[in-house]
Amino acid sequence: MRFWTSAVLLLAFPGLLYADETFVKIHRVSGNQIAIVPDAANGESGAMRGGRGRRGGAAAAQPTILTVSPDAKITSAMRERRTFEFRVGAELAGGLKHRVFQEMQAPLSARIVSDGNRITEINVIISETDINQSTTTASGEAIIAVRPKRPPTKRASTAGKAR
Amino acid sequence: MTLRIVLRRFLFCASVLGCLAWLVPSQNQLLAQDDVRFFESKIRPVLVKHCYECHSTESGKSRGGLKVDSRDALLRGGDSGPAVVAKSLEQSELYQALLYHDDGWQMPPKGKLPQATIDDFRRWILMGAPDPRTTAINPDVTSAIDIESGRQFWAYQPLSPTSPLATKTATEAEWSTTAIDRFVEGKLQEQGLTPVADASPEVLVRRLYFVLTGLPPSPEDLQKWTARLGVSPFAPRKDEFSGQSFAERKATLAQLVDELLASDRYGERWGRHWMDVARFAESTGGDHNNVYQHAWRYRDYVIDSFNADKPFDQFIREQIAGDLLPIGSDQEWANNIIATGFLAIGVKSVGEENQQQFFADLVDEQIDTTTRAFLATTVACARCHDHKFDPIPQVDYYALAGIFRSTETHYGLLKAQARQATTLIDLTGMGPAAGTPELNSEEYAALVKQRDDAAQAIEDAMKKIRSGENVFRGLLRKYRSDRDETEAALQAYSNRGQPRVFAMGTQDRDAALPTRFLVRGELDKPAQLVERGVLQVLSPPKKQTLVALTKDAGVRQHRTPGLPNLKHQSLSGRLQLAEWIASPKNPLTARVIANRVWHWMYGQGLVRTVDDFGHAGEAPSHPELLDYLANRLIEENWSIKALIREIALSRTWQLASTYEERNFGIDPDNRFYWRMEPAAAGSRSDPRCDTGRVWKTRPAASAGYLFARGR
Repeated sequence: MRFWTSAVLLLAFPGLLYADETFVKIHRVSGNQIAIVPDAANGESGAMRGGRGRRGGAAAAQPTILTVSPDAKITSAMRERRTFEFRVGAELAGGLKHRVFQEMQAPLSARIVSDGNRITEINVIISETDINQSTTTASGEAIIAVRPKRPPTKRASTAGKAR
Repeated sequence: MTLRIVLRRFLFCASVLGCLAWLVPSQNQLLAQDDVRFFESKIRPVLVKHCYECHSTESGKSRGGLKVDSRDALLRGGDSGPAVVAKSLEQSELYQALLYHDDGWQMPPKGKLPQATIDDFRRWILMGAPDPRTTAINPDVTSAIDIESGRQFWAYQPLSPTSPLATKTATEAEWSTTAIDRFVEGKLQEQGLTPVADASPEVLVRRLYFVLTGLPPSPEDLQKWTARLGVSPFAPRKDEFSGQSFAERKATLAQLVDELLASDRYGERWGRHWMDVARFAESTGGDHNNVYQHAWRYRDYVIDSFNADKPFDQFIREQIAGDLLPIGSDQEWANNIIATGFLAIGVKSVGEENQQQFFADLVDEQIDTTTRAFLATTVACARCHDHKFDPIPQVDYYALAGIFRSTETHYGLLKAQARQATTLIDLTGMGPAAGTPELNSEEYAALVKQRDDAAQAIEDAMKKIRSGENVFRGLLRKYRSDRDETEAALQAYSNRGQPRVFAMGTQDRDAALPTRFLVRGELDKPAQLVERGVLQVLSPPKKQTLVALTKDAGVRQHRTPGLPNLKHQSLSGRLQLAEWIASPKNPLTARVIANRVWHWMYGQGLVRTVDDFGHAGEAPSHPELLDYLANRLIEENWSIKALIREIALSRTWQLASTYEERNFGIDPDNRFYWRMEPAAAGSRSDPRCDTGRVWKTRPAASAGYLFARGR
């Protein structure tokens, strides 16, 4: 009995590594490691079509730690508002160091694409973003312009003086 | 617990783990293998046989925006939505098309497939549409281009310190009066050509006005300057000018040239030339053609830069990396950011659904514009393959792409207007004037009410939906669009009704985006990672990467003035790219702009293909003269006005445009400048003048936008 319980538990999560495409919730990011639990509700395309309120089912599962290779592509993603179709967005600059992961307050829904036991892509669902990863929807907290990043102040350096 | 028990438990656990390690992959692979086998035997052959012809990368076609040769493409679908939705036959357009319903798509077009095949697709979709065709990293791609031999091409050779063939002092007895004339005369003699007579003073005055300001002289000015040149505009025309000595005439002309160059009209005329190069337009073009409400700031920046005779190397640095340049004041900072509008304007397919595709196209457009404008090189050809004519391997394209991919482009628009919208850059309080008038309290309150009404309409509609009532989706979309637009309109003002100052431009990302070589330029065919850098053929050997460039003594010598130190770098690499382009050591930059100036003054360039100095372009008619002009430009601190002055005061530029049969027989295209190009001779009138409605003041914002709003 003990054997079969262990086997079932251990089989459940390493199985992720062999799937092509898995929907998960990312609970924690530390360096190049992510703590995830499978997201059964998101796992099937069209599962969201019935509307909100069907999520869940993974809360009780213990997170699994996965290592993400440095060349994995990390992108934003979204569910189309009407059809809930999964759409991959722009690449997130900095990968797992992006502020989406560094400042996460709640688990993030994501799709993990793997090739064999190597993660090739993580598409994380975040609020609507543009290619600069700035929110441009005008619902609630609309942002139509951002303040520029300050460049260095002019110095009387030797740079550029030799013509 | 005895040692024996501990060992037994350890062995038990080890054996369990060992078994699992063997079981897990095999079990999963077994399951996957079944699916894969089904796909490979039943589905893929049908797709290849009946669909790839019109929907695959291999065929180069994606009818209806659909490709079926990869899993991602199939799931993404085409214009009418996803082709396959796992476990949903109704929503899988591909399956519905196979059924050949009378009221829907019917595929393949040649005839309905056998029922057994359709049943296979049905089973496959219900299985969850397993498809092993994932995006794999392709093997590293190498180039066969020989960069070293490519460097021997004339355009990639360093500027040579040329001097005119004849070095004797100019006197009135000789035709040549300037160094430019001596270069031209040398070529004329080689070809057996003789220059035509000088233009009459009247023609010359009109020519100067048209070429330098784009406007004709007023009758009074024409009379004044013609008289000063010795011949009345009302006197009979003379083919040969004889009223004054060349020296006196030259001094008078120099005075007129200086006066015109100091006029505000000069910047408007020459700024327009540059805006053509910079593909300036106040809308996105492409599919939606949304208006860029803030593009006019870049227009004004260009006009002011020409009027102020900004050194061209600084002009380059500001347009490519203005936001990264060291600043002395907020006003300077704001102007530098506005300059980067160069990268933010341009054609964009803002209706593109695939964000990564849109971003790749945006970067491509930036690379294309930057390299053609400053280097007259068609680098964008290397997006899909090694350049067919020039020594530019595909990897060079992706080295540049890495720089622009690490850059945020802020061109504005709202999600309500376009799928691919971005933020603008907020310059409020940094100096530039607002382009729109202030709102009074009533106007501001009306705008708030408009926004609240739109938000309320959405809330009402949502309540109806929740209570089970049917609400037309299009109406809901309109409400959302109204709310977004009014919210954005409101955000363009402070709560006191003062307009905020926005601009298009660029910023560095927080981190660089790694860039992969894309086989055939396809997003789903990535190969090796490419280090950011510049063109190999224009760099010292093995020093094309950004890291190597910044260590090169030759490059460090010409870094931007005012940097904190010589090691200072930008995160994206745009600053290094701008410095590399603006360096006097770059063999193309000075040649390209000198040729453009000649082209704008003469009607044809020394290299007639002004945007292409490569093998597919033309060779220069006067290579020594081109190098001379490029060297003069650098010597004069990249002053465009100084170069214009030198060309305008040459006798070559002052020739008449008269026809001469013998010369025409030898050189019908006037490649050797035996006369002035008739098209550039200033004999045409400006249509704006004909209507008598010339705007002599610059519009305060976007003329088209304000006009459309009735302001």
